[in-house]
Amino acid sequence: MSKVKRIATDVVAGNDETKPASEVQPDSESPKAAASGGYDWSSLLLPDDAEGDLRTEEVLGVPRVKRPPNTQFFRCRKDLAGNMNVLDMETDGERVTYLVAPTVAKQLADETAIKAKQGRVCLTREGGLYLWLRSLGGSDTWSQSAARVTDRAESNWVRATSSRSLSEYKCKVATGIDDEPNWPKESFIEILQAAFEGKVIDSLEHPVVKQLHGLS
Amino acid sequence: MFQNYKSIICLDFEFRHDDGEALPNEVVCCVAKDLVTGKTWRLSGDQCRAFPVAPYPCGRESLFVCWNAVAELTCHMALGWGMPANVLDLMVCHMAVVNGLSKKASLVEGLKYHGMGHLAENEKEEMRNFAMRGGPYSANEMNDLLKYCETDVIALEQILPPISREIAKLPNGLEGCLAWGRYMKAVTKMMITGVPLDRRNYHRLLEGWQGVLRNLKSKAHDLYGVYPEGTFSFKALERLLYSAGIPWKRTPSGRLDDSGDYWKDQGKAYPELKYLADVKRTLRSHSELKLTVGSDGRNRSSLFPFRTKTSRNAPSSNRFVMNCPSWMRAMVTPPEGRALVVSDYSAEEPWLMGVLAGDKAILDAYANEGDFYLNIARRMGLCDLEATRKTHPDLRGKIKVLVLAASYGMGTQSAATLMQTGESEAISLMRKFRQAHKTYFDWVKVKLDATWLDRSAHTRFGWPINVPPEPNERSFMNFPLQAHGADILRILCCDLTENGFSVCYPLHDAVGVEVDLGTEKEAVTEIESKMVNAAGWLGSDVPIQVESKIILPGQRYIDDDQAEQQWEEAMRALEEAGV
Repeated sequence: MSKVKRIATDVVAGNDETKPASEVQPDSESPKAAASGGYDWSSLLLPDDAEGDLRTEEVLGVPRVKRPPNTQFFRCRKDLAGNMNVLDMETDGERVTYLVAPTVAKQLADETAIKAKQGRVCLTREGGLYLWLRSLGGSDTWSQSAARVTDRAESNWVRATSSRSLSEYKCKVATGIDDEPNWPKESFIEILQAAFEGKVIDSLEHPVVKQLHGLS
Repeated sequence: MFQNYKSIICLDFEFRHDDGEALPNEVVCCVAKDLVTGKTWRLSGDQCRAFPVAPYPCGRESLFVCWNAVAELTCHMALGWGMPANVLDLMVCHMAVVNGLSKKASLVEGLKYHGMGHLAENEKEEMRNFAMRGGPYSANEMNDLLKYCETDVIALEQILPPISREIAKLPNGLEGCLAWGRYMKAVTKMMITGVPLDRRNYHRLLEGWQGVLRNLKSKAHDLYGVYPEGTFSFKALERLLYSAGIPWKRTPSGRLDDSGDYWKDQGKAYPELKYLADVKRTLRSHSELKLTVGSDGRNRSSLFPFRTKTSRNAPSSNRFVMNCPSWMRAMVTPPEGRALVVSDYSAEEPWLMGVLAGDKAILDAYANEGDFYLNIARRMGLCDLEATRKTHPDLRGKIKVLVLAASYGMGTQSAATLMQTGESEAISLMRKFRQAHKTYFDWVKVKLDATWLDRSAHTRFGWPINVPPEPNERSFMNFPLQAHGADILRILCCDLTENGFSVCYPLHDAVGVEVDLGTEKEAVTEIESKMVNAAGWLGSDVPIQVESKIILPGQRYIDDDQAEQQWEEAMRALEEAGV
């Protein structure tokens, strides 16, 4: 597909240059060699070293245990969800959420600080992974609206914002985003392990339990 | 590695070559040594000139080994010895081996890299000047020159074994290096051909250059008010930018960025500033008219082949007319009886993106009828089938920026500036573009991963690059596109020059070829066919597109209306000054 254009410009006085010197110089090789077939550049063509050669893979980062930011759209998946016991502790002004093993939770049944929650993995469009915890079986408007948002996120890109006046999460659904989320290959348990690494209370001897009992 | 060669000739010439001339004014002397037989030729200029052909073997069974072949090949042409069959330019091989590691390309530096010294390192400058002085030389002087010349031949002999070991590790080994040597022959021919200029107006410009610069400033001041009393005023620029609402980067000290690259970008982003950006460029790079022009009125300057990391040529920005501001290129005009065919690849980088990554969406947009960028916009759902360059110039401009951004990982802020839009719109468009061209972006990711793992990368034709300790990811993202573009241009230049075409210059993705008047239409067909074939070696069902224009005697090389206007203003200024 070629186009030939002429440049229409002003006329300048003619000049008297002769043909370039290269044309009158002998060349021991060309043009005969080239005319009789030319050089086979394909002999230099190397295979594409990237072809089908994915030699790295992305390792799961650290999922954050919180609701996705209210400015980011996210998606959820039905199989990336599960129930668990958690304990929120405030240490040096920073709130840390601990995962409490079922056996420990059973032994500390009276401990009201340990709460049963449903965790749902949320993947934002920016690629951030969040574990959103909501009260299990909660009948309050926060819990119910959170469940509605995450359910909707199974089929649409949604954004959750909190409305203090209505005591609920508002759900905004993106109508113009049709790309599919790029889910990590890890299972829910693996994501949970990554999210709570070093923050699992698996025995009564755990320092946090001792702290709760005023033993440390 | 060299067992197929009956002779391996290491050689060096001393010569005097005035700037701009096609050939050396004087070949001073030559020393050549055949490493197979051990025979050495020590020839004064007069002795060289007595030989109708090279006294040492230059045929297909011989290897011609040198450092920066253009010099030696130009001497061969000056002596009427023709081109040797197989050129192994150790400078190019060395540059390939160390590419990306910021090493220099001189023979002395090459020797240092391999732990060796040059016999005459300290005398080099002095002896070079001595050769440049020109003859006649006394017997003793010639003896000194030959001795000095031989030190370079000895250096070549010393450096050949370690470089050979490195050559063996290069992706295409010796064959690849010989292909680069082949290109050095093409470069020699192109430099000898040179770019034909309108000699009369060149001399007028030379005479009245300072007046032209003053006129440019004055015109820029009339339009922008930034040259009060002939001096550039940052305060005035600040006022201009404020009133026009144009954002501008500042240096850490708070001053407006005045770098050449930034002006170039801003000139592209804000068409209303393009004239001023061009004036700034002219004033910055051309305080004197330094074009190197030969006595035949042709501009010749070293093309500095392979001098960039991507192996593109890097000719001087003030000695090589095709690298000058666009209005100065209007000096280019074919001589009587000749025509200049200027052919360039259309949207070469997007084509390479599609071909290298195997991205069908990009290739479809390229192959489909209509404008490539609007085809991309259609695919992204941003316009309908009726959209054209005329109806949707802004959208086309934005998509052009998106493609550019994709080619080297431009940030959203820069993309927003170039698109003249908010950052949020830029983010949204870039995201849409990514989704629509996932194959390309996945390929980039895989390529980069492989590059970091291997600590090197190379093109399909074998031009390599090493990963330095602190690599710039963006330049490695862009490397495949630029370096493959360089490969294609090299193949094209070889094919054209080997088939007797007078190539005046290669420039990024274009060539200028001089042909006999009356044959220009046939030449265009042939040149375009060669261009398509050159790119076709990469293998693609979608052929690359080519565009040509023909410049006839009396016409000049004009890029656009603004270049033409600036040229006319310069001519008026000369007239008014009585030049």
